Amino acid sequence: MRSKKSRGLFLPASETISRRQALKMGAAGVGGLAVGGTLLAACGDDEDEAAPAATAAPATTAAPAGKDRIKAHWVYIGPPDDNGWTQEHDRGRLAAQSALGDRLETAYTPNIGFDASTTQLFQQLVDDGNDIIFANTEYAGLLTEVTDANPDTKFCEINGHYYSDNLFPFYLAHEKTAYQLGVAAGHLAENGRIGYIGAFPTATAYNDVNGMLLGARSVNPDAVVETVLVSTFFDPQKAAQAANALLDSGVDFLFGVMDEPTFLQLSEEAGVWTGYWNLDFRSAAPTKYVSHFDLSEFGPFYTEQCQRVLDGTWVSQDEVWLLDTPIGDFGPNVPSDVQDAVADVGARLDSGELHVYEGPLSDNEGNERLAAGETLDSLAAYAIDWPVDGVTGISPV
Amino acid sequence: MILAIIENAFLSLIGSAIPASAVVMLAATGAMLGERVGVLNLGQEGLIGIGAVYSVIAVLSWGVESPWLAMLIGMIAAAAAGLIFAVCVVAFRASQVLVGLALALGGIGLSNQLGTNRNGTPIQTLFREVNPGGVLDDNDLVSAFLFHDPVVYLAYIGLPVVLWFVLFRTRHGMNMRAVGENPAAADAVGVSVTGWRIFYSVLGAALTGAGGAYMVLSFTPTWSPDIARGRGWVALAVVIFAGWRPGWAVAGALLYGSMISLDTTAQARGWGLPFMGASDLSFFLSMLPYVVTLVAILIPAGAVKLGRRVRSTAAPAALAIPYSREER
Repeated sequence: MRSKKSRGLFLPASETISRRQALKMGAAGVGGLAVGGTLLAACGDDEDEAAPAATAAPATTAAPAGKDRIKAHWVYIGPPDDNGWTQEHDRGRLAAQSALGDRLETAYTPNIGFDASTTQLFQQLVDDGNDIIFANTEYAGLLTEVTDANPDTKFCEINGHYYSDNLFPFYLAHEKTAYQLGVAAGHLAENGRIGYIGAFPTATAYNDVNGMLLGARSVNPDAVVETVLVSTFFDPQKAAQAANALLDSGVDFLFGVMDEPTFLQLSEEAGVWTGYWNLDFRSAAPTKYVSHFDLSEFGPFYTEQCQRVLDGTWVSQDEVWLLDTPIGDFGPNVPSDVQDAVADVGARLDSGELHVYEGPLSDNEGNERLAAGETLDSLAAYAIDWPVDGVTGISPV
Repeated sequence: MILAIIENAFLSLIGSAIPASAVVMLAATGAMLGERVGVLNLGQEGLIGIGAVYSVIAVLSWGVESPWLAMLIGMIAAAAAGLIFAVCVVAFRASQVLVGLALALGGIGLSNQLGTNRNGTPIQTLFREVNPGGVLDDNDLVSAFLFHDPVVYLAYIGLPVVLWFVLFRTRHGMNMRAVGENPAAADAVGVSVTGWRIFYSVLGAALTGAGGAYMVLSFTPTWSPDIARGRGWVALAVVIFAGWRPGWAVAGALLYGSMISLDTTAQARGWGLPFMGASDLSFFLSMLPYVVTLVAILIPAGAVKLGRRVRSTAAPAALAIPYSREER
């Protein structure tokens, strides 16, 4: 009785919807939070099933002919005016829009978190006729349930770990950028104590702290990175508490992966050098600003993916699509010799003469991870799950 | 040695707890004011949001350059929301629980909507910390208690003292308590129960709004959605923990603040258990404030149950009960 009622509620009038989809939507409606929990719990399993699922349906990739006009949709974890991560993605969306003009129709949905309604949203976007859908955070099982059920719609998920014929992950090769910022920190931080406000113990955090530490140690062998994890990317109150705790304990360079600039303001007040992940935010720390990770490659990436859908040449990838992440412009008080040193290191990293991860390297629990002479490239760094020796406050997975 | 470590730990905790829970202190005082006259306003969470967002709007859109004026604007906005609430529950005698919940959720939604396009924008109009000249600023003990902005001192010292004095040392305060304990008796001696209840719940809402304003004008100078993040609910718990006494609210707010600071302070200072670092305990530590709140409320209740004499923890007798002269 109960499921009948809910199916009536959730089944759209459209006749094209399959019975499987209808059941799924009904279940999502009835289950509510419980289903959300199950989906999240199921993420790990999904990854194991990825390979057979991908091989089971090879025929669906046959490229359709080009289209005159497509619809693309962006799903955002935060608001597009966050002065951070989501704002940069939205700049990328607008860049694609202006590059492709009338041939591309774009829209976005902001503030999408992690629960069963997210899956319903993705299904709704597919039903609305979107040709390609971009997710600016890793929704994992909440997304892949929909991508698997709708092979004709294309998906790109940032920082994702699931590959199929219509979904591939993209991300930023930011360990190099972190290394360059670390070089700047090594020069600027008198005591070599770098504070880092992280969200979760994931590869993003490891590449940030490892890059910073190794870059700083190339200048100051005593440098350390002290980490506080706050389990969120956007919560100014928590970020402020973490920043205050680190500043009070005496760090002399403060960096973080937060999507808002509260910690920059607090660093400025404390007279401590600081930098930002997403964009140029010197206004929050006028005198102590060092630099940022430049995310302007999102625009070209989104444009290219939409163009490929228009041309009928879009194909999924079997490894993560990594975007260049150059270091941004320097703040006004960064000495020119420091700027030169950072630029020099950047050039050597790009040419392959220098590597961010080059053995011998141990993790911070004393286990050797890279033997002398061994290196990790960006693709390997994308999967890294250990902090190098000298980083505190975060453990290997 | 051990003593020095404990002292150091206590000071770094309390030093960050004091500003962290000033908002809880203001909201708890606001809630207590209403509850003393018998009006239970569960909408604290929404009022914090409204007070915060209007202070943000005042600074970013109206060009207000004084933090006091920005806070006043936030208080007026929260008072307006409080007036709607008070009219509903006092004049129309609607359920205080239902209207309060509506205010909590509606206030969060309204403030998030108004905050759109202002997310993460730094606010430069800020309360500055009081810096008493000549005092040693190297001394941890001094800096933990002295270097805060004026709102902190108002919240922890000024307001509780004034409220305590008014409630327990003046005739006016006795009448207030009468309105909350026995409105029929207060009515019989000529106190306007309706008028007093509306007035004090609006004033209480304004104080809670000041808490929201304080968050964006000092503690974390930027707007973010769902800004209260549970502080309004904790304030309601602090009122119960305090047994409706202003002085005990200070203790409750500081206890809560220490627990909420423990998460980040423990990580930054490298505290942890022998087998587990603070970063691995992050989720547990962020849960701790709420567990401690629960325990803090249960201890006095449990003591009463066991027949121990404890300070009075009884709520005002007419709390959340609408008053009607015809029905007395």
